[in-house]
Amino acid sequence: MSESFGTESAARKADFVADVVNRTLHDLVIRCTRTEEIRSYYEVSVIGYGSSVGSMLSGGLSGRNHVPISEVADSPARLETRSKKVPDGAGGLVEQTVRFPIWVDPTSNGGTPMCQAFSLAQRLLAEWTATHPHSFPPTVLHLTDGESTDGDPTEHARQILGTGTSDGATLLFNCHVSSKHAMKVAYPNDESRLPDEYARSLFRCSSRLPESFRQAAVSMGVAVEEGAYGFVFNGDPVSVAQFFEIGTRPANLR
Amino acid sequence: MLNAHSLLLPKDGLHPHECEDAIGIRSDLGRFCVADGATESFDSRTWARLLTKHWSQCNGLTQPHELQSWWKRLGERHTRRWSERPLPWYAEEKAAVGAFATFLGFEVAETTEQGFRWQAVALGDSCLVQLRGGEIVLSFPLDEADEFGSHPQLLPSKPSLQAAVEGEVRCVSGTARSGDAFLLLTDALAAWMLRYSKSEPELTQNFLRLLESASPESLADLVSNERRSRRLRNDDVAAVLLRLSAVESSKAR
Repeated sequence: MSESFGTESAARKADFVADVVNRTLHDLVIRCTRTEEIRSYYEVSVIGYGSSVGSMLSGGLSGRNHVPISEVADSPARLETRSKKVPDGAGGLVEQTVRFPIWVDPTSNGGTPMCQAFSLAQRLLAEWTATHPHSFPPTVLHLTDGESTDGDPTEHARQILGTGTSDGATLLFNCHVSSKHAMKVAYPNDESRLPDEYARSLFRCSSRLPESFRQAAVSMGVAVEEGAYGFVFNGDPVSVAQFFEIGTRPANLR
Repeated sequence: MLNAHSLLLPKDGLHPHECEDAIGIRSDLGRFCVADGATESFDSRTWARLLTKHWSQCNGLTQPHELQSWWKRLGERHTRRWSERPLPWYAEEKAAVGAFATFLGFEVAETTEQGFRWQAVALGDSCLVQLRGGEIVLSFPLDEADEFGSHPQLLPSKPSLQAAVEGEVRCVSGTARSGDAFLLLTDALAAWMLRYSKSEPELTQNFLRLLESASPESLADLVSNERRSRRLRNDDVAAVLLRLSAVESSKAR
């Protein structure tokens, strides 16, 4: 991906997406940190697709899938520093330097071989659910900027949705991002507002948001009705960040 | 001696040493407390244990103005545990924010032959339930199962964050009779007790009976069953049950 998200953002999509994925992994790590140790509540795979299809993790985790979150924590490819505005305790904001671990680097080349990507995801899910038959079902957060270039992915998506654990079927949430100034549709309950057949086919590949995810969305200020699907069409940068946050906040660990 | 019975269980699938709820019992002082360390915070188990251990063996600390210097001192102690050792990047980041916990403290003393006075202090959704003849006559600070959410007020370990919750401390006091029972419960059990004590009194009565008869295995089975049927949230659980008896308590004080 190498286009910006329409005119409202100058950020290149690829940079932005890598940032969002790195921030998501960072948040998962922090959430599982108890003391010096980490509870491996999650295992993570990050699949990229373009000129090739496979794990996007860099550094020591390169090529790995099903990585326990404790290993993710201990093996970022590098620790960068960024500046961040934080509350100063007196109602204002101060700039603070924070460490920003990098696991995934931006890439933007090739087509959109969605069928291959879904097929790999399905294989990984079948492996994982066979060894974790009673866990919370896996969640797949799929982000795409265009139509599949290797065929209709619907059947592959069905196979993903056919995997699961005794606690339920795998959850597949789809977020389509657009470079055009097109009307965004976020977490719809049905297809009525979707602009074309492509949008409808992605919608049909999406799981309903379970109540805990929906409440996470509502607590973030995103209007999501009961019965909504985990689907965003023509998403902007804000909706991508929200999509990842909603999709990784289900497990109330308190 | 006030006779207290207690239960402390981790979430299903976790080990006892991973339980972040804590209990403090000093029957000789008439002081009992529970705390619920917030799982997503840093070393909340130690924070919950510090709070319960110290509150139960102190005097007073039942009014908001008494609590501030106490929890500041304990917070500094929690911070020192981690500030003097090298930590990986994620632990350092998390330690900077510290731990969070709910807290409920309960003090009771006999006043006359058949009477007791009690005081309770709470921050968050750990609850005190007063029972008379098997019926709930008071629940504090929450009294409806639907009031329990996933964002209760929490006491931070970081002294710099504590000022923000000073106004959130709730206090209550009252009287009780010989035969009354008091339960101190962390949120999952409190919500369960409030939800089912009317609709299925035999279930909650059985829970009390097992707690009093010190049957840890049967109690654990009951908790597991209720979790499996999704009536009880799969959370750490802490319970302290105290039945007031004029004869027994007069020996203690």
